[in-house]
Amino acid sequence: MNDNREFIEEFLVESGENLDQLDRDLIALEERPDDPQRLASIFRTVHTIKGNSGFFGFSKLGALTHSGEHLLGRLRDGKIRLNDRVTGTLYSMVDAVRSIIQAIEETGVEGEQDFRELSQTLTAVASQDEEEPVPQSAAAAVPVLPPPTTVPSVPPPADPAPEAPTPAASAPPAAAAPATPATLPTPAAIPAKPAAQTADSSIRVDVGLLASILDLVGELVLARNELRSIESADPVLEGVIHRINTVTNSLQEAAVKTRMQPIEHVFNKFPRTVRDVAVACGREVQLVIDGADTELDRTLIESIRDPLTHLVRNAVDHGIEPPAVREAKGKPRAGRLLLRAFHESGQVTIEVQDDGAGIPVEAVRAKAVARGLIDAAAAALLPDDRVLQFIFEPGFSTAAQVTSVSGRGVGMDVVKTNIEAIGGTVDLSSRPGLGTTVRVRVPLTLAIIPALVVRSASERFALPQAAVGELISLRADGGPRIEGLAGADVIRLRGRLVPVIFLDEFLGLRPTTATRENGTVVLVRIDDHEFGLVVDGTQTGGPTSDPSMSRDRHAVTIPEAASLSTIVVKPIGSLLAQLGIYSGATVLGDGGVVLILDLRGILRAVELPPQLRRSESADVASIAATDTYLVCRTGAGRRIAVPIDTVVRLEQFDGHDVQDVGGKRLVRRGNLFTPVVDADGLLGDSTEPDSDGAVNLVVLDDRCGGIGIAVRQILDVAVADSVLQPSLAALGVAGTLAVGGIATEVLDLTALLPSAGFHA
Amino acid sequence: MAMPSTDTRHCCFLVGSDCFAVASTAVAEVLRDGKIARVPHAPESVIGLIHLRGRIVPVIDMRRRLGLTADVASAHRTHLVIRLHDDLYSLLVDEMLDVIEVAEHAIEHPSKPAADTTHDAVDGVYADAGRLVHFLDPQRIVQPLARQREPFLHRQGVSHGGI
Repeated sequence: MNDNREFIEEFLVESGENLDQLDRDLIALEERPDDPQRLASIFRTVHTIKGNSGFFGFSKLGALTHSGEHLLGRLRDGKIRLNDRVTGTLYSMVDAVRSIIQAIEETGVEGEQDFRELSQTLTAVASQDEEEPVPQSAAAAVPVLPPPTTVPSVPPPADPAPEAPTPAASAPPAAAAPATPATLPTPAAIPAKPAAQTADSSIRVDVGLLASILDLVGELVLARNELRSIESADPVLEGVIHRINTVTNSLQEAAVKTRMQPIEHVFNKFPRTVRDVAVACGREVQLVIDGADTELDRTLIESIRDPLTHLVRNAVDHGIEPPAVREAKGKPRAGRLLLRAFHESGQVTIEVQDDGAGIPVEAVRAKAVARGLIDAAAAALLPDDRVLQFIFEPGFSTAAQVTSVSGRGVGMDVVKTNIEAIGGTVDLSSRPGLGTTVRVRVPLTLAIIPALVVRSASERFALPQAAVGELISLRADGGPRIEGLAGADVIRLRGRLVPVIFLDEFLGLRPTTATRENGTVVLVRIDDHEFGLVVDGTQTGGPTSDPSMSRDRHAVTIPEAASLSTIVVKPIGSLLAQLGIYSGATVLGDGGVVLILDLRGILRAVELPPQLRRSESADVASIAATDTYLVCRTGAGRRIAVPIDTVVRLEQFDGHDVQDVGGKRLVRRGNLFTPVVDADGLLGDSTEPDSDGAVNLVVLDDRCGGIGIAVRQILDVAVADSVLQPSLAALGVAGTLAVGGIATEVLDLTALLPSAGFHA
Repeated sequence: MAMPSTDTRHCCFLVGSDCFAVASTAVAEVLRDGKIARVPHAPESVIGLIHLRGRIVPVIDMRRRLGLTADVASAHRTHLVIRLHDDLYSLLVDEMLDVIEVAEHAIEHPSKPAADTTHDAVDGVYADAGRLVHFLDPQRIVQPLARQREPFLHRQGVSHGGI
C-alpha cells in the first residue's frame, strides 16, 4: 500500500474538492429539485469517490458511497422524489465521507467509525415508494425551507470526474445493496463544458516550489538593482540593462500573484454552513455572496477561515430572527445574509451583514457595567457604537441562552485576536431592528507590505505602514516639540498628549538621545493605543508618499521625502523572533538587511500606560471644543462631518429601495418618504451609485428640509478637537476641522438645500 | 548527544587559539564576507543578520559565544553557515581550517556537558597531529542563546531633564 501513497494523496486532495462540490450541488438541488444536470453532477461525484475507494481498497468508504449512489440513481430515474429526508440523508453521507477521508489523511486507514446504519438509512430512503406520502414527522422536524442560495461570480471549479480511473467499474467494493452498475452513465456522456475548460488552464503546483521561485525573484531584483547602478557609456549594455529591468519588474509582479487566491476558497463553504445552522436554529436565510473573486494571499485565506465562519454562524443564529418573529415585524420570512469582499486602499474588506434584530445596545451597556468593564456613569455617556465594542471583550455574551451553535459575543474576542494577529481589524455596527454588520479588514498579503523606512543612530528600520498615522517634524524653532510630563515624554498634538518613545534609546543604539529637538515623530496607532516613535528621520529618496496619509490625516508636515516602499517580509528565525520586538527583516534595494519593527511588541515592551486615543484621552482644558459631529465616509471615500444636532436619525436600507420620482430620489419607510441626496453629489464627486449594497442615510431635521444624505459608512460620533477652519473654495464644504484627531470636512448644510431641490 | 551521523568528516576552524569542528553534514555553506546588520537587544553573541540568497541568517560571533573577550580584527574571519532543523545560522569564526575524517569511536566524549559557556557546546575532543580538536554540537551552540535577552530600556517612570 505504501507504493500507492502518492496516488492516495492525490485521491485525498481530489476527494476534498469533490466533497466541496457535493455540498454546493446539494444546496443547488434543494433549490431546484428538478435540475437533471445538477443531479447528474452529484451522481458523478459520488461515483468517482466510490470508484477510487474501491481501487485503493477502502471498503467502508466504498460501501457508504455505494448506498449513496443507489439512492441518487433512484432519484435520477424519478423513482423517488427529493424531500427533506432525502437531502438530510445525503448531507449525512457527505459528512460521513468527509470524516472517513479525514481519518485516511491522518492515519492512513479508514478508522473505527461504523457507518453501516447510515448505509441502511440510505438504502431505506432509496426504497421508499413514490406513492408513499412524505413522512409527516420528517416534514415537521425540519421546519425550514431550503435556503435559496445565490452565489454569483463563483464559477464551478474543475470537476475532476472525467479522470475517474477505469478500475472502478471492474472492482465494486461492496455488493450488498442492489446496485445497478450496468446503468451507470459514463462520465463522458455528461456534458461538463465549463469545467473542462477550467481544468485545462490550471495545474497544481507545490507551495514550497512557489515560495522558492519568489525567493529567487527577490535575488534577481537585488542583482538588477546592482546592475542599474553601473555607469556605462555603452548603448548596447544600457539597452540590455533596461530590458532586464523591465522583465524583472514584470516577473516580480507575476511571482507575487502566484501567492494570491480568490476568497471564494473560504466563501465556498458558507452556503453549507448557513444551511446547517439555519436548519439547526429554525431560521430561513438567504445567503448572498458578492466579490468571491477578490484575491488575497493564500496564507491569509487560511487565517480568516475560522473567524469568518464564526461570524457567519453568529449572524444566522443570533442576528436573524425566527421566521415568525420576522413576519410579525413586517420583514420577509427569510433573513438576508450578505457576505461581501472587496479591495479597498490596499486591503481586503470583508463584510458580514445580516438584516436581523441587531444587537441590543442597552443589554451590552448593562452587561459591561455588571462585568466591571466600565462604571455606570461613564457607560451612560458612552456613545452606542463604542458600547458595542465591548462585544469584543473576552467571554462577553448577551445571548439570553447560549445555543449549541453560537452565543452572540462568545468568541468575538477570539475573532478579533485572530484577525489582529494577521494585521487586520474588525469593527462592528448594529442598528436595532435593522441588523448588524461586521467589517473585517485584512492586508492583501503578509509577505509584501508597504512600509516606512526610518533612520535612528545610523541604523535603518522598517515600520509597517498600516500602523503609521502621521509624521511630525520636530523643530527647535516653535512647532511641535517633546515635553516631559511627570517623567514621561509626550508630544502635544492638537490638544492631545501623546506619549513618545525614543527609538534610539529603546533599542540602546546610543547613550544619549540626540533627537529631542530635531528629528521626526512617527505617530503609531495600534488598537486603542497611540504613541509617537522618535527617529532621526525617514529614508530619503524612493517612491513618493502615500496620498492617503496627507489627505486623510491632518499631518503637521511630511518631513523630507517620506519613503514608503514595498518590502518583502522575511522571517528572522526563532532566536530573534522571540525578542518580540521584530516581526521580520527585509532586504532593501541596496542589498542592506533591515529589521521590521513589531510595533505591537514594542508597545508591550515599554508598558505604556493605557492611553485611550481620541476625545477621551484629550487634555480637556486644551480642547477647543465646539460641537459634536457625526462623522461619515462618502462613496468617494471623503471623510465628512455633520453637526449632530441637525441629525434626526440614521437609517440603513437596501440600495434598491430608492425610488426615482419625477427626477427626485425618495426612500420609503412605511408611509414616510424621505428625499435622498447623495453626499458625493453635494461635494461634486462623481461615483457610481452603489445600488446593490446597503445605503446609510443620515436624516436631517426640518430646518434642513428633512432630507436624508446618503453616505457609504457611518464612522463615529465625536467631539471636534479644533475650531472650524472656514473653506470658501470647496463645493458643499463649510470648512475643515479635526474630529478624533483626523481632518474632516464639514458639510455646508445651507448650500445643501438649493442643490437638493427640496423645500420643506 | 552524540552525533548519530555516519559521515565522519568534520570541518575544523579556529576561534582564538583553539581548534573547533562541526560535522560537515551540518554545514550549509562557507562565506568569506557579508554585510552584517545589527540587531539591538539580541543575545550578546548574536551580532547581527546577513542576507544569504533570499534568506535572513543570524550571525553568531563564536569568539563571544565561546567566552573569548576581545574582538580581534582578522582578515580570515569567515561565516560558517550551519543548518539546524529548518533554520540557518552563521558561525563567525576566526579562520577556516581543514576538513578531517575521524571515526566516531576515536572521539572522546565528556561524561557530562560542561556548564561554562566556553565548553558547554563541546560534545567531544580528539587529539589530531599535535592539536586538540573540540567537536561542537550545533544544537548546543544555539540553544543557550534562546534564553538570553537584554532588558528593554524605556523611559517610563525614569525622570530626566526634559523641558
